[in-house]
Amino acid sequence: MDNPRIVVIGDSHTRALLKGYEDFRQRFPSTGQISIHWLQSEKAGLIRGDLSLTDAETILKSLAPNDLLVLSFMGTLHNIFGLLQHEQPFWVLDAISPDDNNVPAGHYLFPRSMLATLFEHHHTKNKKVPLLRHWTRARVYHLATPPPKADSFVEAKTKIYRDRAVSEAGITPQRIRGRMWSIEMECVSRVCKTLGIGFVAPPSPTIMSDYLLRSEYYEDDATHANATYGALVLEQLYLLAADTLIP
Amino acid sequence: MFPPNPYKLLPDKAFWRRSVANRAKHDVDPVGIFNLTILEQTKVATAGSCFAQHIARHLRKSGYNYYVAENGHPLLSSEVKELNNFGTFSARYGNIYTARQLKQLAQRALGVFRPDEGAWRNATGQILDPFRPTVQPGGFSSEAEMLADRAQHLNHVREMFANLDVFIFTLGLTECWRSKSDGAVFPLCPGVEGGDFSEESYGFYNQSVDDVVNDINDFMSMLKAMNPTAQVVLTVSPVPLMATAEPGSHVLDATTYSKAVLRVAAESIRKERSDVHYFPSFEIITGIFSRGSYFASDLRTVTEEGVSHVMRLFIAHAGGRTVSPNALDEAMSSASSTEQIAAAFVDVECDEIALDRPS
Repeated sequence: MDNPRIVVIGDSHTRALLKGYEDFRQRFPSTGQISIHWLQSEKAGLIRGDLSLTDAETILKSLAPNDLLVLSFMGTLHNIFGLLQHEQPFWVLDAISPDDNNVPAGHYLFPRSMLATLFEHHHTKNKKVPLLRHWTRARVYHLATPPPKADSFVEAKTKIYRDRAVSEAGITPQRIRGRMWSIEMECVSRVCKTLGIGFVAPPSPTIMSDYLLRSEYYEDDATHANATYGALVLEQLYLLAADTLIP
Repeated sequence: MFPPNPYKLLPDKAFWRRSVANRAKHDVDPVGIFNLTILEQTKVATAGSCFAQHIARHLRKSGYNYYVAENGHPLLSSEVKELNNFGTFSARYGNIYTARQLKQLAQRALGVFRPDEGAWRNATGQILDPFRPTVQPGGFSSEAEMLADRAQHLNHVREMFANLDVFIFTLGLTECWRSKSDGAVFPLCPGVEGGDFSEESYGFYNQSVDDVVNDINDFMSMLKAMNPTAQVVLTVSPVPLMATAEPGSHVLDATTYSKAVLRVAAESIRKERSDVHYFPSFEIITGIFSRGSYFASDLRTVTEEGVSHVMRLFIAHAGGRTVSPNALDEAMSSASSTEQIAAAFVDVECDEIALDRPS
């Protein structure tokens, strides 16, 4: 029996997998065909990505039931809403040990379940994921996005984010961004379940106890992970394709 | 020449035959003395029992300045705000059923009453605020989070009381459950939606007319200290009790008692104070002239037709605007049957429904 094909389609976070592919191939030379694509989208007149929706449909309809379709679209709201300090700063308490019980003055306290509702409200409106899922007979999974990075790194690497100057807005503290990321991943996992899609958490060596990405997996920007991270994710997908439990 | 008796000088509304029996349903207007004017810019805040949510909803849609002091973070869309109970009332306090609850809300907002009661947990382990047990879908993740949200909520309550122009409060119940340690009252009996009931910790209390009058007057003192020009409208909810805990009582008998107490108390306060007004929502919905048609088949849920009658008269008397009987109905609902219309707003959170949930 042929090794299952693995097709990864997503946004800019697929670049980490593309960059990590050679490293992964050297360690796992006998895997089946793997293709990694950034689905095209247009922003401010600029088209980014390398795969049109039409071509995506063709690829997905060619997959067999034993193949793997891996998506990477949901999971960026923690950055969109929280990378830069909002004009109304907010706070999120830790769920397990709320040892910093004091919400800083002037900050809005977001109950975690309210944040979850906010994320879920947005993710359930995602049209790409159900559409791509609809086009294929393959097993479908969705990747977690990489955990957030330390404040110092983000501040050093980012001047402008979503048309706002970091120097003016400031960065939301990393422990808040970490909590937002963890809440969002729980939400994405739930949304995936309703769509009949599996959820792939980040590789366990890459994440720290406060939900931050370990620095050795940083790409040289505010939000993306590097090739080493991408190679570890490909290893997860290889194990999934082979129906082996992910460690 | 003197008239033969005082009744000869009374207007039509003083006579049953002229103003109730011989009137079409939609033409009955039981408003007595109501000297409050609400303009488009008047900041109108609301609180109260389930019925009060209808008033809030209609004010919003009728072009009035429905004042919401606690509106959530700007990141929240209007749909997410609604899911998290922002805008249901003027602050995220949930249903306030009794005068005692209202008084204690003001006391807590001012920091003069800090109840002993800790967080409740529900059957699935979610953490709830005992004074707002249904306000946060999914509950809170920790007691610390609950307390922090409560603190920011009470800041908004204080802000609301300080800035409103008119406060509409719907009196719903006289029956309450209170803590034996400090008298804190809860919107729901502990153990129903969360918390653990024990006779050692909690007791049942059925408020008297004096209780309600004193509580409202105490509340008014606090409100006027924060906001000397505030006006208050009292109205009595027409919604019957879901259940009574008054020993030996039938729920219909208990309902009549509760509504009678609340109605008498409201009238007593209205007569004493020029800054408190009474609006007859109770009379409009339950009055015999509608022959029960303002209740759905469960004899408890108020129909949209009934709510529209209430709000049409409120707008006419407070706002000086005439609204046709059909206009509000068309604006609020496109459902064809009474059941659909009633069902459409059972979505308003009525904590009391939990009292009669099958076990």
